[in-house]
Amino acid sequence: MSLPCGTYNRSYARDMAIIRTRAQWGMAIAGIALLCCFPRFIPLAWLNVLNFTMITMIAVFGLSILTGYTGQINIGQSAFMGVGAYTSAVLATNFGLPFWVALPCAGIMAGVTGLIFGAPSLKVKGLYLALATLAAQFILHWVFMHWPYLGGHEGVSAPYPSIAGISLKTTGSYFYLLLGLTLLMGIFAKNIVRTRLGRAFIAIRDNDKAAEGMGINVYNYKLLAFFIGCFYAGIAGSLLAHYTGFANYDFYTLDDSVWMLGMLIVGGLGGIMGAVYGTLFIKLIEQAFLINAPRMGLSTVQGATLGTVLLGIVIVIFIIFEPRGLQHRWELFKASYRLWPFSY
Amino acid sequence: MVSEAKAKLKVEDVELRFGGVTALDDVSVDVKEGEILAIIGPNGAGKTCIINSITGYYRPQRGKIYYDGRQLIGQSTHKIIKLGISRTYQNIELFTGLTALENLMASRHPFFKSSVVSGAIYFGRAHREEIENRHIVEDIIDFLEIEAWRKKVVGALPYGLRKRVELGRALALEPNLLLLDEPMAGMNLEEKEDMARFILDVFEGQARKYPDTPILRDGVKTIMLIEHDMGVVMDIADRIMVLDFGHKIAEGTPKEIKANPEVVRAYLGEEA
Amino acid sequence: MAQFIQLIILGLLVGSLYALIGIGLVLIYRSSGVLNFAQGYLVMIGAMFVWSFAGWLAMPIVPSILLGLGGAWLLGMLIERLAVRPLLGQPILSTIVMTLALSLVLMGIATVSWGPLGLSYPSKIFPEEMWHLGAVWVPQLQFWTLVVTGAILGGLLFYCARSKSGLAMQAIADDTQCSRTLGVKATSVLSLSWALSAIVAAMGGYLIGNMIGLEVLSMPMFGFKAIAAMIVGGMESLTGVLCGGLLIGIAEYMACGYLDPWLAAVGWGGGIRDVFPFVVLVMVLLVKPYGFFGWKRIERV
Repeated sequence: MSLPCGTYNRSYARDMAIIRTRAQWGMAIAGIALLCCFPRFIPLAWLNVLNFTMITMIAVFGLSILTGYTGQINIGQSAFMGVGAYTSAVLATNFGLPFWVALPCAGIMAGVTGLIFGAPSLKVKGLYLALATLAAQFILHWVFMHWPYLGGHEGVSAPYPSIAGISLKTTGSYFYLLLGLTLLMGIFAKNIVRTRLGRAFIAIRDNDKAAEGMGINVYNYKLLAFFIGCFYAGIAGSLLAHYTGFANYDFYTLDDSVWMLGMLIVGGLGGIMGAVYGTLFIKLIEQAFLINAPRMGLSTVQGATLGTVLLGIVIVIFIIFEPRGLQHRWELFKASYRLWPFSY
Repeated sequence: MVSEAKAKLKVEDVELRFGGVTALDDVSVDVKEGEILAIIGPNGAGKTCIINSITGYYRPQRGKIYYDGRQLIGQSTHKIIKLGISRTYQNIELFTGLTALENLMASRHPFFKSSVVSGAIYFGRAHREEIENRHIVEDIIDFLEIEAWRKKVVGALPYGLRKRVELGRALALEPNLLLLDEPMAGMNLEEKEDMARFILDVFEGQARKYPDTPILRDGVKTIMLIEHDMGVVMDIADRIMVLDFGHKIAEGTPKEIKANPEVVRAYLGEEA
Repeated sequence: MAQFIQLIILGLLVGSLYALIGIGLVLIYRSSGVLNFAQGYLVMIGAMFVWSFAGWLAMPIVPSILLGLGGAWLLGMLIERLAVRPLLGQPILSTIVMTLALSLVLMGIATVSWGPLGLSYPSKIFPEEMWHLGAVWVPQLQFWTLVVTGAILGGLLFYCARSKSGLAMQAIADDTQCSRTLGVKATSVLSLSWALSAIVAAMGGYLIGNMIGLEVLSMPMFGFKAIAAMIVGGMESLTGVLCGGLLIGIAEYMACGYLDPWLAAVGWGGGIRDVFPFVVLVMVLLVKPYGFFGWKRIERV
């Protein structure tokens, strides 16, 4: 990553840091402060959208680690979210566990499920492994629909979370919870990726034979990548369930998994920030279509479908013309203004 | 004396077949501690197959391979690497998406002890380990004189530099036995001299220049080298083994090999 | 016993549909190296094209079918030209997500054009009655489907093996660079295989629409089950996908006949049909990933 003109790193610690200059610290803190003020002046509908966006973002962080960094294509991320959602709902409703216990349990359960469907990675890779995850999507979805314990069409209800006695019932309060968690999960993801684990993951993606030749137990690390990726999905699923009030299989279909892959590609596979850009981009445009549908003379369903079709085309366009996604475009832009007035 | 030293690596009667093709036929060789052994032979003689068999990529049908007395055949590759063996690849298997620095840091993988969770939290153990390993990697980069390209993505580097990064990657694993597969292939005279110098420096150890970095201070005591360039081989190798179509046809010091009529006939051509 | 035979027959019949759709998948995979996740959606749109001519425009059924196939041909070529050709040589993730995104687009267009409700063709080609062989009944409609599938498969196998363009397809699949130096035009082979694939999908769609129901939401599932069939048989093999399809069909009905009652008893409700092909898929991936007829991959270090 290039630095602003005239800035140098004077220690290894600074070289490796995420936020390196005081200016960047300033911007980060100001940005977070701004986000904290959102519930005050953003209309409720958009706050709701941001909540859903952040939930999806957490799942896409996991997908970024599994598919972006380790190269294991996962077409079933949404189903793993579902595992987390149902786990959390069941634990909270049937077993009376508090939210902050159910949440990590949901993540672990989803992670373990990921391990099961990642097991074929011992023998198959690439396209074949992707098909295993596709099968996972269908199989898990079917289980959600048919297992009577999971309530069938009504699903399982998930009570509003209560943290330290404060019950989070409003969109605004949930916003703070999600903001905190998304930042936390994002920072964890970024940290994982810049230490030895991240390098091992990239090694496996780029050249798994050579990775083996560097002392990396490739199979174990592939499984670990599945666990982490699906853990994130589980967390996201749990958050979704407690936000909407129930866990229901309608939210965890193949289409949702495809959208998440699309967000990953549009945002850029090479980094955690890519997940942020991609999720924001797609979710916000989708919402724009929904909200503006009446103005265009369409029903909400038609508006949504139009949004779907256009976003699908946008994803294809990105794949063809800018496969490194928005993140790459942003890096190019930063590089050009940082070097200004020099040309290289 | 080198000939009385213990055998670090013992390859015994190894037979490796692929379907109808016999790549290695009853090949035996010892690599003694403290020596540089070179393996030469025409293309297709099976030289890379020996390295692949040692490191576990191929599994010989018959024979035994001992390293410090431990059986290697049947072990998985990553475990063999952790025993202290490291190798370079004829076709350069670097991680083309990473920078040179990141490639070397990736190679330090077995030396990191922090877990996933401490990695996620980062501050504390993971941070310290990153810095420690970064110091070592930077010393290796300094030794190989590739400082100017450390932040460049490896895919963009020219061939000669990539070969150096490849060597750096093998060194970053702090091996006791280094297997080099044609480290000078495709290089011009100057680059070959540089590479030969690096290999000898690594062999001897650079205690004065790099007192803090174990691999550079102590050096790699035992090296096995596959090469085609006769000049280089005769200069740096202590002993040479000659392979032809999977058979060992000679083994000995450079002087003995030069004089061996079989070798001359199969490989070296007419005596000048 | 009679139930067993009945299940096998029904399984063969639905399996032939999977095989038919799978043929399109194999053609595409062999020529462009892409696994077309949107194949099921092509099936659905092909069927809807035919319905558009027969239902909306009230044309007789046979010209409708032909026009529908023509529409599918055009769609296949369009997709190949715009979305597949620019991605030649790109990593797998790009092509996978591209076909998945394509399926979203196709689904959206289909939902808006034909609505979510079930439709039906106004007139039928195949007779509706059942044949009775002892205790076993054979739906005539499905039987003729099997015949049509067999005919198409036979025709394609013949075409690939004998005709000039068929051989060109095989050559491109084997070694693109070499074939191009010999004068085989890779792009026209690509176009041809995608167009052919779309036509076969449309044919399958029409047959499915006749047999099971013409519905935008449920038809694409056939495409995914056909993918399972393709893996079971081996991704590059036409005979493989035929066997794979039949196998998946039989497995589905066996599960339906023997597992469903037991599942219903424990409260899980029926419907294992929907998921069993994917269970088979996972098992095959664990045991014999390249399928029974596929080409094995060997890596060199």
